[in-house]
Amino acid sequence: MTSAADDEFEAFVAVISDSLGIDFTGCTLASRLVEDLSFDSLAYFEMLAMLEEAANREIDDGAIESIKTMADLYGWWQQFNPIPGTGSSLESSK
Amino acid sequence: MTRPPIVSSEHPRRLPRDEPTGALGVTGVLDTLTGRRTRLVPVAGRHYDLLYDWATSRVLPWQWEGRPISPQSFSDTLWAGVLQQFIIEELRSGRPIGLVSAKSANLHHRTVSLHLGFVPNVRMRGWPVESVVLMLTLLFERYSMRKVYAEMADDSFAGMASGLGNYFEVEGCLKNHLLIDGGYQDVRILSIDQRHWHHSIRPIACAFPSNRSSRELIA
Repeated sequence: MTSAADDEFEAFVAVISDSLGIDFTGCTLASRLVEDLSFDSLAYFEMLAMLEEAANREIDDGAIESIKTMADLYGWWQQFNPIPGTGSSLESSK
Repeated sequence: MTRPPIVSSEHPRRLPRDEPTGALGVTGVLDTLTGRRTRLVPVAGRHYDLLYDWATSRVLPWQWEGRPISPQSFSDTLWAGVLQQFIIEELRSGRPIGLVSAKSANLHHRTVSLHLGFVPNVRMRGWPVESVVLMLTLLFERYSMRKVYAEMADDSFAGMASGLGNYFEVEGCLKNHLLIDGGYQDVRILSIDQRHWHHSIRPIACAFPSNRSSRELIA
């Protein structure tokens, strides 16, 4: 991963930490939401709301249930928040 | 100030006289509350077979306080102390997925207890949580409740623990209180107060399609 990509991921982690109220310190793209980051029903519910707000549309339940890792979540986020430079879209979407 | 239309009126209905209402005598038009993925449908006579089946097959094992249930006494048990209660349906399919009830309301102290049960195949998934937001919207906005209490066993609490502080507080714990699947579990007594409502939960409710037009009123 490049440095710019690292910065983008860190900015993303900061945004979702703030949105979900979960401490993601030390998480990586490989981190599993439930097993490693203690995602629970409420966190999934908040994540869903966050992604739908970003996408400005309803997201299919099956698609949401396919999000198992930070890489999955980050991939979804990037679909809705294309980031040409580090962090700008993330910050504006807070 | 105009009270925001917190509920959808797409399926308004008035309970017939022979159908039970809340023990506090709350009557009148009961609306279906609609979110993005779930809706709350007022419990009516047509739901009794389903609820009786849930109760006797222990889909909702803790709603009935361990008492034997007979078909004859079921409706009394179902409505004991109830302010409002709803069948939770998945919006897309219309499938009933649970029951949410507000019980033991005190309109002077503005407190009420929330009782919630989901069918097993939707537990520990995110989207059904929306139904709780719908119920809390009713309790805080229409009934002006100050505090909403809920009791939660260990296995249920595990699905909500991330909300501690933002969405609720734990005010107490009953040790080894409930017999579940052959073992005793602690029960936590949670409270959701006006601070949680205004800071964390109300903004979620405002994003529901049925509330969007009144967002500026609610905000």
